[in-house]
Amino acid sequence: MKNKLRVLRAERAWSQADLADHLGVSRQTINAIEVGKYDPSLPLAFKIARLFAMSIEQIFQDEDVARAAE
Amino acid sequence: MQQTKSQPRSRPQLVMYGGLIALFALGIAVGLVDEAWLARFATESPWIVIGGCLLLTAFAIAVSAAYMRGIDELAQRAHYIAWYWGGSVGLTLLLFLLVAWPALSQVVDVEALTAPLSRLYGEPGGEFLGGVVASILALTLGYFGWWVVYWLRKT
Repeated sequence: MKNKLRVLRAERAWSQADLADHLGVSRQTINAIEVGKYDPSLPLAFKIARLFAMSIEQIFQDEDVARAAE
Repeated sequence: MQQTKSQPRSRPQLVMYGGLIALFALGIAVGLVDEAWLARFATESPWIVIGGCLLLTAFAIAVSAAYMRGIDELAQRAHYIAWYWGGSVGLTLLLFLLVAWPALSQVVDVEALTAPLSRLYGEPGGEFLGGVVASILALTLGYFGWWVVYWLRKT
């Protein structure tokens, strides 16, 4: 699953550890989500969306849908 | 620029770390106790030893629950995956040993293979205990190996 987490984090000048603290998860989890190695649970996805005041779909994009849109 | 501070450790995390350290210390302490004295004490006061072991088991389960509550979802998932796949593979290897044992005993030195467990054989039910230890080893090694691979791949 593609996501804009790295961009959103960079816009706020947050480190992975900063974002991890905001979300109550480990830095490793943030890194795994950013590089697409781990898809977050729905509760964590909602938490991320709330933190950035966006919808889940604005942050996460299904790779098949993204490929079709290209 | 918005800065954040590290959050203090939550209560479940404090219980988790405290419990893990206590379990580790208990394991070391039991390992340091004289084996002959321990065997004599178990013979003379079996109910105290059984009660103590039950308390230790309950404590270990409570610490495990606190540990799982204290870690985040990726770490939890690593444990679930490792227990399922590592544990299943470990058990399957034991099943292979069970089924293939008559043939294996023709081509490998069975006595050498089971030597680490053979010191249990003098005990009542010793061969059963040997099987229990072998099962724990297979599950733990499978679990640990799978966990390491999963964690390194994801992080």
